Amino acid sequence: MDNPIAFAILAVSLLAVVYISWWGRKFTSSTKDFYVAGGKISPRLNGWAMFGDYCSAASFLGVAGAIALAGVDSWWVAIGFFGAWIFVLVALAGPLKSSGKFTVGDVLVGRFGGRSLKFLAMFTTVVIGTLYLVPQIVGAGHLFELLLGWDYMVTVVVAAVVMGLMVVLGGMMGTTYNQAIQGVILLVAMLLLFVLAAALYFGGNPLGIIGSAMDTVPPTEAVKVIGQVVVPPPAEGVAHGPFVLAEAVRQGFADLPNALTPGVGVPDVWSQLSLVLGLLLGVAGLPHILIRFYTVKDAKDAKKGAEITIIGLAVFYIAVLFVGFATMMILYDELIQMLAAGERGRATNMAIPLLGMELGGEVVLGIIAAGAMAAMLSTAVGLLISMTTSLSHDVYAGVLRPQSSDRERLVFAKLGAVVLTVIALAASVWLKDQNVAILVAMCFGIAASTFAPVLILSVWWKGLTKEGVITGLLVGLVVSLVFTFARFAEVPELLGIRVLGNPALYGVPAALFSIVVVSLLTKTTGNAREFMALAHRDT
Amino acid sequence: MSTHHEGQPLASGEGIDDAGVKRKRGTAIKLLLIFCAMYFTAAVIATREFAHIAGIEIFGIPLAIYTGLLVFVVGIVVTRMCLTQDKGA
Repeated sequence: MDNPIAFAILAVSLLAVVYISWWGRKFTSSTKDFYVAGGKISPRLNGWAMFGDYCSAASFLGVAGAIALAGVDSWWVAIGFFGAWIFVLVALAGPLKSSGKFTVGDVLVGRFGGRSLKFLAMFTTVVIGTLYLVPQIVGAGHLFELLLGWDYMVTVVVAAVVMGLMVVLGGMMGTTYNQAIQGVILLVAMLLLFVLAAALYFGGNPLGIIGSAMDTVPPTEAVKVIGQVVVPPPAEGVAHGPFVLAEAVRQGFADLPNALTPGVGVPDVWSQLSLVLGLLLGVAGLPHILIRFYTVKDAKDAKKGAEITIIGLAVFYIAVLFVGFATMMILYDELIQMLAAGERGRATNMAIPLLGMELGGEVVLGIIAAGAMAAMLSTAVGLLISMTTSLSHDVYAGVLRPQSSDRERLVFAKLGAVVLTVIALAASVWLKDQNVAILVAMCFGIAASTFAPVLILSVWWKGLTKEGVITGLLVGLVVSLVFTFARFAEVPELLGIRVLGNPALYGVPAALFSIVVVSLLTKTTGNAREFMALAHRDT
Repeated sequence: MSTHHEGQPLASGEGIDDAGVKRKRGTAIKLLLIFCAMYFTAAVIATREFAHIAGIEIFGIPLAIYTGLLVFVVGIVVTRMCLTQDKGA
């Protein structure tokens, strides 16, 4: 074992998580308890749980790692992750809580009725959730690999088993407490890195991090010229300072961009627009986040919880910028070595744990690993619960066996968790070298192209029809999935259309256009007036 | 909590406050416009085509950093406005 102390800290935190899941079982006597903790969660607890649920591997590992490699442009993923919550708070949180019970399918059926919509909503939930599960397993796999020195294939299996076990053991109550505790751990771990980096390397001045970043060539640019860099020998009896290679690259190549130069990591304005559009609308279509609004009493509590999440995210993502820059400078040599060796996945996803090791040895590495694992577990479990709720509630109880008992539905939900984990595990092997933040951003693009327009129009537009919803969901899903897989397969163009880094710029307009045109041509508006009265009664 | 039965559309007969929904929709659109104006402006100037704008230095720090930070500030202000408007209603 490579890092026994760090592993011990991680193991203790994992045992605590499993214990809380097991403890939560006693609050899970019905499907409603399993799905949404009986709707009894306080807004403050829900706010922290949403923070923990939302800050996945992408936020904790991916964004800071991407900033460390490519500079300030990668911060846009974090800004987009934040902006999405403003959209959800203003447009969706209240009406969604007032009009639904457990799933997105409930909202649509509440207005239009019919099993086809429930089935389509379940299918979309499972597609988004499974794809979103992949970066959590990839991140966890890399983390175990770093800590234990095990092979990636073994580590992803271990990570996936822990995730599945937590869902099978408990339900939403245990998950809520776990997510809230993990949210606090995540924020503390990120702030700890920020404070330690500023104190140990930048004279205690956080602005010194920004100043140094302006003199540093991002590793993704530096690696292109590293063979020509001449590092001056240290003066006699004096060891090299921490930033020698970074300074040598800057002195040798004054015309290269620095870490704060905008436009380096963004291909062009269309790619950027696609990314930020997908991120802005994405949360409004993420089932594992939306289900959290059903765990509180009413619409006002849903919004209060969202406010806590938004403030926590603002603090977290601003700290991420500083930590990302600090990581770039402190681990400059290692990051360039990994990039030169073709280990981009490891460089981008493991930069933060490596920074923890550098700043405080195995103890801080252990705390950071616990924080990272908390991020991945809380998100993965939230995803699995939302998917299995949809499978069990929308399909098993709603379509296959309406007369089934609560116990049978719970068993079906837990079996579903096992199957979906195995599918995500297989995809994690294929996508092991992708940055987890980019993988998550792709899921945002798919969610933005499917559930987001449908849900927003459902609660705000009386003219929306059932046919419009079905067409919009199908068109958005197909277009976004086609462009997502084209991106993974590195296909530059599809039918003469350029494949962008995120599918949202094509998926969102395609879905919106289909919904509006088909709705204008058809008349099945469902119980529009009654539904909207319900959705807006206390928001 | 919702009162409708699972798998069924809502029963007819419940009334809707059209003016109320219209007012809420108007407020939501205004708040989103404020935020989106800041968000998309900051995003677009950070691209390669407009990097000369985002790269303008103020107190030695590029404009891109200020606009990024401003998205967070505007977001929190919009959040407060949204919740205050709820209290007023």
